[in-house]
Amino acid sequence: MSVLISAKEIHKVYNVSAGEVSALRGISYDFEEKGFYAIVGRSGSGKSTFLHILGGLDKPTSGSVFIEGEDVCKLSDEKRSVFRRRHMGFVFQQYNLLDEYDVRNNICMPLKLDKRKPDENFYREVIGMLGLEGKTKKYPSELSGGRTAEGCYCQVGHIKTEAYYCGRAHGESG
Amino acid sequence: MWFFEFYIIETVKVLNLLLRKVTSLSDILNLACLRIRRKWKNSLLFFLVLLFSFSSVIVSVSLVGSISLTNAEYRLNTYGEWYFAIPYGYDNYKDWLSKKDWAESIGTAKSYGTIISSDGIIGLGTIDSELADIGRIRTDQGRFPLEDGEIAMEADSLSALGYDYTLGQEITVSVMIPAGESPYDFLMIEKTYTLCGIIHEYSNLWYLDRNESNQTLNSALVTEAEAMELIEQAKKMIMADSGLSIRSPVPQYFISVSEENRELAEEQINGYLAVARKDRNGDVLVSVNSVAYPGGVKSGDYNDFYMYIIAFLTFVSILCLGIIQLPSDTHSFSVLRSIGMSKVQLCLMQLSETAVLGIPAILLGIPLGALLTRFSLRMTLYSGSVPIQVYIPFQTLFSILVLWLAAIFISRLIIFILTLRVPMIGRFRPNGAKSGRIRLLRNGFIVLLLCVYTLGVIFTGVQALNPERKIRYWSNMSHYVVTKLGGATVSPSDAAALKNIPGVSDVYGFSEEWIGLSYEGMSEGRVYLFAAEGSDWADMFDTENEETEFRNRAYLFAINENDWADIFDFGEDITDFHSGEIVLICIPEDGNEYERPEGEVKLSFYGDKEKLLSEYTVDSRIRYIPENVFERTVACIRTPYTAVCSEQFLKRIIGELPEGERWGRFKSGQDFEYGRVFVMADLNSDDLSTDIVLANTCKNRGIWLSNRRQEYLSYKQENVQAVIMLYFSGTCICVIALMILCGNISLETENEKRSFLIKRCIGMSRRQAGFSILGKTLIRCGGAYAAGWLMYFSLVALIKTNTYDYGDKGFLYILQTVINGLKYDGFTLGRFAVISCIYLIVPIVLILLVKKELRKDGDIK
Repeated sequence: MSVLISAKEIHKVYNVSAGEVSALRGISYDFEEKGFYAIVGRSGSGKSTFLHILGGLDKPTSGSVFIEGEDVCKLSDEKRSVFRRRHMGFVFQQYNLLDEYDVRNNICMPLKLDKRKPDENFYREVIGMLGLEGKTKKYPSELSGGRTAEGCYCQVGHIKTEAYYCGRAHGESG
Repeated sequence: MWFFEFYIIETVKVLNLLLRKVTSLSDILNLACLRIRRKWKNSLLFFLVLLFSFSSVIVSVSLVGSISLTNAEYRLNTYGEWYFAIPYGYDNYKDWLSKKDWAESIGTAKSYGTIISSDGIIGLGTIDSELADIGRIRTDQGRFPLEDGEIAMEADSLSALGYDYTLGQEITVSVMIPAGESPYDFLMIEKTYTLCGIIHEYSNLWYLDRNESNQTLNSALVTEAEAMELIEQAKKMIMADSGLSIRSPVPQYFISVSEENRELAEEQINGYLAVARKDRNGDVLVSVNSVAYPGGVKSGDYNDFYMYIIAFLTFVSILCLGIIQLPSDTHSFSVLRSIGMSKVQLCLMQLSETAVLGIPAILLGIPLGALLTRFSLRMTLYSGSVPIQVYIPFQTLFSILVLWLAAIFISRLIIFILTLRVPMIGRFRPNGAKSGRIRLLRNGFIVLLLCVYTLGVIFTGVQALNPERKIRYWSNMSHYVVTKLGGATVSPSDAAALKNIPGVSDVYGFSEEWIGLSYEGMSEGRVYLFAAEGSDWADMFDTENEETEFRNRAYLFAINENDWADIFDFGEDITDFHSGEIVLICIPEDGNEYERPEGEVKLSFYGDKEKLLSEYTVDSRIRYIPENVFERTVACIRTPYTAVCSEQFLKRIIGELPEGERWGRFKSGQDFEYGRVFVMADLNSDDLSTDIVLANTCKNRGIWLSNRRQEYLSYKQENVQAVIMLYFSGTCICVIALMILCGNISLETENEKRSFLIKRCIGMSRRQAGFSILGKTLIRCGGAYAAGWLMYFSLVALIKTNTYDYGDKGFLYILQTVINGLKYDGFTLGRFAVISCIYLIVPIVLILLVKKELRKDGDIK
């Protein structure tokens, strides 16, 4: 299997009032295509930080992240934004759906931003798979906790991303 | 051909690009609209705040502009449009003035002579049409003289001569024509004219600040030919060997100059006069019409102040809105960024959202503002003698619109920048110090809005005191004074007849004469009994002769106690006062120390050549006369040691005078009559009906009328305008501030709902929630209240510093003068309480009403 994502010597240092905090110290790892990876560790060990850097949400202090041969850390904000909406999907710890848009708009948001129309067949398939039929016109605040999670999965699944990043364990959802 | 193909291909490419951009824009617009629709309540509030702030800006700016313009027009209508005046000029001045480009219009009056009346000197002469125009000199009845033998006069001049206002009547006057070199040499010519017009009052109103020669303005106008005929007649009267010659008529010049040329014009005119006046009498400096064109901060003219407040309020309110929405906006935008929205897309979405709400606010705000302006002007403006001037200062409006848009832009920019700074990680809500700073900023802006409201209430309520005092003053000044010539008296029946005239509201007769006053323990007196060492009064009269002649002199002021009870407050003493057992002794509260008679006083009555006629010893009561008592002002009330007695007592004194003797205007055995009668009328009407009937009655009864009604009406109207300006503009400011505050508090409430619900879930009771809200509201309002007073005093002190020269006196001294001024204008605890209540109760109640949402239970999810 070929390598999809390659992290090389990732360092991340935060400047806080008490001084410098080193969240990542030279992490390197290769992630293969079609792989399912779980990053585990103690609370505060840098798991989320590593995930965010891999996903292009944050930049490392030093090091590189290659996705399909391209160093995403060196991309401009515009290109990284495009890259994220075309190739990445995120399921955050707090879900972070957009309260002002209904489920359908939340799911299709990355495509809207990319000026693409959703594949209706695939859309219906994803909705059906996660049991959100009949809920697409509802707003996140009107959904149960589980349905909110499923909305997030739809959002990421719908764009047929190369990689999904989940910020928590999902035992309670389907 | 290839060029054409190239052109087509490139054009198609550009159009495709544009189409993609437009399509992309329409997508962004769609997202923005969905966002607005979902958060419809917040969006509606935001829209209403924008709409109301914008239309209120239009209303306030237009109203303030209209009121200010109407005030300005009223001043011009009352005091004339001219800017410079030379009250004592020469014929050659006109040639010089005519050559000056800055002289837009030159009006000329010529003074040919004067007429002596019971009320002073009346100027007789001519005016040209230019002066009638720039002076706004007009007739209330009839017309200006067109034919020889005609005369038009001001109403008060006619009254002073003993005539009523019937047009067509014959008026006989004794005209004093200046002759010889001495200003006291005159020839008198008696002339009879036909009254053709009543001139609207102007000669007593125009203020000529450099009128060194005390030249009189013409309140009696005749034709040029008629005036020249007077001169010819005077010349014929001069005896050949007398050496006298008739002085030429004095031209008076009034010049209109545009604002940008005034400084230059003043310099040139003064330079010219300095040369032209050499070795001659008269004015060496030009007079400026400072009453019609007040410089600096004139009392009541707060146009600029209210403009600044409106602009500041607009700016702050928009920023406040932005800050309140900050947490929810940054959250949404950060999520969108994490999904893949670029900075450009985010910026476009923000702009779209703002445009969707802001543009309708502007488009609706303009007609709404115009409609409200028209309505408000009709309902509230009192213009007196000028039509209401509707004025929309587009330049100021445009500036404020720019400020409004800038505020919106800045607040959205702040959100945009903050969003970009928030990392695109799990938590999208500002925490810790940042959250605290945002909360502080939000609270700060709300308190700032409250401060603006406070300042509006305080400034309006306090600054209105001065013009209100002046309105009371001019309303309570006697509009007419009735006397009889030669020291004669006005009978009570005459006074009663005057009271029955329609339009006359009250009549107060009184008598004032000199007596001698002494009391036990009195220090050896100085003149007029103004015994305080170093007092202003003592300094004025400190001469040897006067000291001998007028030792222990005081006024005796005889009144009907029922008419003057509000001034003197007799209380239980009224019966004793009426019977003459007690008199009141007036001590003015003017900052001087006066010794006070305790108990009995002796009143001594002197006849001709200081012959003692009678003496009375009576009990006395002290009455302190405050500085700002203006009702029925008579000078003797403010004179120290004036003894006030009843008419009854005076009747007894007159009755007991030795036979054949005279004391002042009273002879022994004479019936009691008034020395003067004050007649009060309704100042609100501007027609002559009351004046005419009053003048007629006085003429028929042989009593003299001094008519000040029009003059006092002008002064009163000016202050009425000032009060209207203050109250209406202040109310607009306060209403705008309150409504914007409510909008912001509503948005804040929406944001606080979640946290209150969580607290309720944890265990906070409704009562506790209520107290929490009340406490926060009281702290905010209380803080803003204190800040508002501080801002007010600082502002007024700053205005005073810019207006007056205080030398090296500190801020505390200036503050003290401000406070003294407030006391003088009648600032009382009651007024303070009213202002405080309006301030504190209204916003507190409004805020609590808006926040009562937070005490309800809701869906915590």
